[in-house]
Order: sequence, then structure tokens, then C-alpha cells
Amino acid sequence: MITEFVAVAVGSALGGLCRFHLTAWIDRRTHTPLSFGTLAVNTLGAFLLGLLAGTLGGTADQPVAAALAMTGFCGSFTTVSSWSLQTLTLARTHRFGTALVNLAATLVAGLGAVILGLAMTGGGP
Amino acid sequence: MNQGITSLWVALGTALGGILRYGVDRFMVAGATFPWSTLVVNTLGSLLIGWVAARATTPSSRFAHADIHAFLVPGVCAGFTTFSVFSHETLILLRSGAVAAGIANMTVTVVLMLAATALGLAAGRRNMTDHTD
Repeated sequence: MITEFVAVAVGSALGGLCRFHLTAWIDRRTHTPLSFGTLAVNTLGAFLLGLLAGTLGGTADQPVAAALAMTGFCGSFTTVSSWSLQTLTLARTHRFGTALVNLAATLVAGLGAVILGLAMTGGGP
Repeated sequence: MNQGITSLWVALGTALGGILRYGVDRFMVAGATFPWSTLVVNTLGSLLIGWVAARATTPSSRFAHADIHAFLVPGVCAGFTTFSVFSHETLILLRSGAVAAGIANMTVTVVLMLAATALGLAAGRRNMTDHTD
């Protein structure tokens, strides 16, 4: 159990670093009210989680690997808090259409990405 | 701003956020079919990010400091909350035939995260007039 907590911490730190730098890199290049950086990391992280779930199976099969890569890396590479704050900021600056697009696009892209990741590793249709 | 130090704060904050999320998942509602623990972390993390964002608008606040902001916002809040696990759990519900629960998970997550962030922003702004950090 301690091993799993350490694995989550290490995976999270790496996932967070990758998210932070990739988001900043994309947002510097797009300069739009909608953060394509956050949309990208959330979609990419969901895809990676699908791949890993298809490869590793459930979190019970290989607990330490799942803690490191799935709960840790993918869990922390993606974010709901930033997505929420950015959506609310769009709405508060009267960009209601963009806020709705940000919600819908993120939800659809996330589900699609997990489905694709699972399908590529034989984890389901 | 030192990029290396900022990265270190992000890594530390995310590690802490991830550990807390894992702790909630391990010790909350064992064996539940609905992904409650993810809903809880996503709501609490959205509340905290709103509060910190409101405090950070005052330049004299300690929350406006680059390292503290990096530790808390892209660190703790983003690491504590998770979109990938939320998407995966939603898909599991939808595929297992629990379509209503899957749609409810998406709807409730979006409504609660936005409400929590709005509440956090309001709370952070209200306390600012009382004292400065």
C-alpha cells in the first residue's frame, strides 16, 4: 500500500509537469479565450488512460503499475479544476457560446479518446 | 521568475494532489458502483481553484506569488482533480448499460464543478475586504 502511494506521487509529479509545460506551450501558440492547451492535455490524457486500461487491465491486476501510470500520471496529467475555472471565466466575460463549446467539446473528446485508446489495445469496441 | 523553481513547485503540488485523490479513492465508499470519489475530488478541487483565483487577483496577496500559485493551481488543484479518470469511469457506466448513471455522472460533474468554482470565487473575494494575507 505504501508502494502504491509512492507510485501515485511519482506518476502525479511527472504528469503534472508534463501538463504544465504542454498547456503553456500550446496556449502561447494559440492565444484564444478557449484554452486549447487544457483541451489537448485532457483529450491526450484520456486517450493514454484508455491505452493503459486496455494494456494493464483493471487497477486490481497490476496495482503498482496502475497506480504509477493510470492514477498517478494520467490522473494528474488531466484536470477538471482548470477546465471549470476556464469555462466559468469564458461565461463571465460574456463568451457563453465558447463556454458551452468548451464543455461539450471536452466531454465528447474525452469519451472519444478513451474509446479510441481501448480499441487500439483490444480493450473493447 | 525562475522556470526551474516554478516547475519544482508544480511537481510538488501535483504529487500532493495526486496522493490526496488516491487517498480519497482508497478510503471512500469501497465497492460503490457509482464513481463518487472522483465526483468528490473534482468538486473540491474546483472549489479550491476558484478561491485561490479570487485571492490571487490582489497583487499583495501571498496567493499572487508565482511559486505559491504554481504549487496550488497547476499543482494541488489540477493534480487532485482528474478528467481522464472521470471520462473512463463515465464510459464504463455507459458500456455496462447504466446509461442514465453515465449521463448523470457527466451532468452532475459539470454542474457541481462550475457551482463549486463560482462559490470559491465568491468566498475568496468576500474575505479579501476583511484582511489581507
